[in-house]
Amino acid sequence: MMAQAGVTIAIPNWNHEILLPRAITSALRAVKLLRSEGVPGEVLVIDDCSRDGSQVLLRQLEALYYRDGLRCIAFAANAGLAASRNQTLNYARYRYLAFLDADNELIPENLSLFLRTLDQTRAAVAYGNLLVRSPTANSAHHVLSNESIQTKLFRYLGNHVDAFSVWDRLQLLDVGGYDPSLHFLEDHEMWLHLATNGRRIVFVPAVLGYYYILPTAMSRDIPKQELVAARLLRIFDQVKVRELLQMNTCHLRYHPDLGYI
Amino acid sequence: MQSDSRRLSPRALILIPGTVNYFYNLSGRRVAEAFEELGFAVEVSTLGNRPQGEYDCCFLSNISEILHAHGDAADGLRRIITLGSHCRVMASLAIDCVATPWYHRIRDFSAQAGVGLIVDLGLYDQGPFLPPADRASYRFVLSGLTRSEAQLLERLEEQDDSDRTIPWAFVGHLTPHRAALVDHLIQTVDPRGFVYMPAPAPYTETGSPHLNQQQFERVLGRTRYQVWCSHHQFFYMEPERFRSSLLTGGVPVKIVASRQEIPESAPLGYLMMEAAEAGAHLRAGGFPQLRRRFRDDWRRLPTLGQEMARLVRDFGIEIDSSLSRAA
Repeated sequence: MMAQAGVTIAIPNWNHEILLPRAITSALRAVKLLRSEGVPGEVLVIDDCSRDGSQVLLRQLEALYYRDGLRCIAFAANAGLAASRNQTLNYARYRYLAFLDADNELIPENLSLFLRTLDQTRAAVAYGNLLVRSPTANSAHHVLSNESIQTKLFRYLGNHVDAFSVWDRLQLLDVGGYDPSLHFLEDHEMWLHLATNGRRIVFVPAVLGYYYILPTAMSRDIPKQELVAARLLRIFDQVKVRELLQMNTCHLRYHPDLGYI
Repeated sequence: MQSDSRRLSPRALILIPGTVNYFYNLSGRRVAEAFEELGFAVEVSTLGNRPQGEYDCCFLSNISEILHAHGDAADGLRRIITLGSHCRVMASLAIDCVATPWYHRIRDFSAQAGVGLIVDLGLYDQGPFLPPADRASYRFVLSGLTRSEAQLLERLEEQDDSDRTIPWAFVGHLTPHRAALVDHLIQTVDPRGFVYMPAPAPYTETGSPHLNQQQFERVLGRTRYQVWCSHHQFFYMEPERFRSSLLTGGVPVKIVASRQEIPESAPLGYLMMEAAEAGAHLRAGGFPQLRRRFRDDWRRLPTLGQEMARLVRDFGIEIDSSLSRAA
C-alpha cells in the first residue's frame, strides 16, 4: 500500500465514550489547520469492541464529520492495544501517524512541528512534552515525555515516554509493528524495539498535548506490569549492559526552526 | 619589556568550578574579562590546577560549586585557605537569591575558608533582605556588560527578526508550578512556545540532559520572549536570564507570584509580571518597542568594568584611572 504524504491522527478507543468528544474535537481541529496549510490529514478512530455506547457515538460523529476527515472502524471482538495499534498501521491512509489516546487531547497548532521534524530528520518517531492534568483540572501539574531519550530507557522498565507521539508509519511496519502477545507495556516495548534496532527517536521541545490522569487507567495494574517488565528485561537487557552502550538515539533534540540542539 | 610590564600589572585570580553548573564558569570568565579591561593580569583556574603565585585579588565563582567540583570539600577548603594567604584580597562571588539554601551554602563555606566578603553579582541590592549579621560581609556589584558584550549588543542592532519564529521559550527544571505556568502560556499567549523542562540535573557545559550555554543561546537567538519563574518561592532577578535575552536579541519576561513582592530598587520592573498579565502583554505585538526600551535601559547601567573598578579601589588596589573610566 502506498503511503501518501500527510498525517493520520489515530485514536484507539475502548469504552471512553465520555472522553471521546474532547479527543476527536482536538484532532479534527488539527486536521483542519493542516489542510489549510496544504497538508492532508484524517482522524481514524479504531474502536476495540467497546460496550459503553462509544460505537453509537462514533457512528453519529462519523456521519457528521466524515468530510472533515473523520473515519471510524469498529472491531467485532476485543483484541487489545497492540492489535489495535497494528490495525491502525494497516488502515491509516497517510505516512505519518499521531497516536492520540481517547482520554487525551492534542494541541492542534503544534502538530506541524512534529511532522516537519519527521520529514527533516527521517526519524521513526518524534515526541514532545505532554502537560499532565487531573481529569477536571484546567491547569497542568506535571509534564511527561519532557526530555530526550537516554540510557534510563533501560534502567527503569516503566513507560518513560508516552505513545502519544508522532510516528513514521512505514518505519513501524518495517520493524514488524507492535507485539500482539503483550497486554501490558506494549508501547514501552516499541520504544525499546526501535532504540535497539538503531532507529532515530527525536524529542521536540514543544507541547504536543494534554495527558489526563484517570484513576482507572490501564497503566495502574502494577503486578501484571511487573511480569511483562521481567520479560522485556530478558529480551532487551538480559546482561544489563544497555546503559553502558551508546545508542544512535541518545540525547536527540530537534526543533524544525533550529535543527538539532 | 612585556614581561616587566606584566609584573607591574596587578594580578587577579578567578577560580571557577570547571564542572557542575556552567553559569559559574561563565560568571567567572566575565569577571576575568572585566579585570583585564582594568589592566589586570588575570588567571582563570580551577582548584585542582593549584594556581601558584601572589595575587592582588582572588574571586571564587561560587565556592560551594568549586568545592563540589573538587570532590573533597575538606581538602578544597584547605587549598582555598592556603591560596588566601597569597592574596591581598579574596572574595566569594555569588549569583543567587540571598534567601535560598544555595546562598547560605556560599556564606557558610566562605566563613569556613576565612573569606570575609561575598560579592553579589546581580541586578539589585539584596543587602536590605539579609539578616543584620550577614550584611557586613555582603557587597552588591551590578552585573553590567563587559566590553565584548557591549560590542555584541551593538551588532545585534543590525539584525532583523524575520527568523525569530519562536514566540516564547520556557527552559528550566520541571516543577509543578512551572508546569502550570507553561500550561497558562500555551492557552493565553501562543501554543507554539519552546518548552524544555527536564528533571533536575546539573547544567554542565557538555554531557548534560540540559541545554548548555551555546545551545540555549541558539534557542534564544530565534525566540522573542524568554519566560521563566524562579524555582523557589523568593523574589529574585536572575541576572543571567536577563543578560542572555539581551545578548541574543530577545526580551526576558520574569513571572512573579505578585507584583507586591518586587522591591522598589529593582530595575526593569516592566519585564516582571504576574502570570495573569502575561497573555495580554506578550500577545500585544509590542515586541520591537519592548526590546528597544530594554536595550536602552540596560545601556544606562554601569558596565561590569566600572563596577569592578569601584570594588578594587575599595580594596585599596591601585588601577590606571584611564582604564577604569574606559571599562
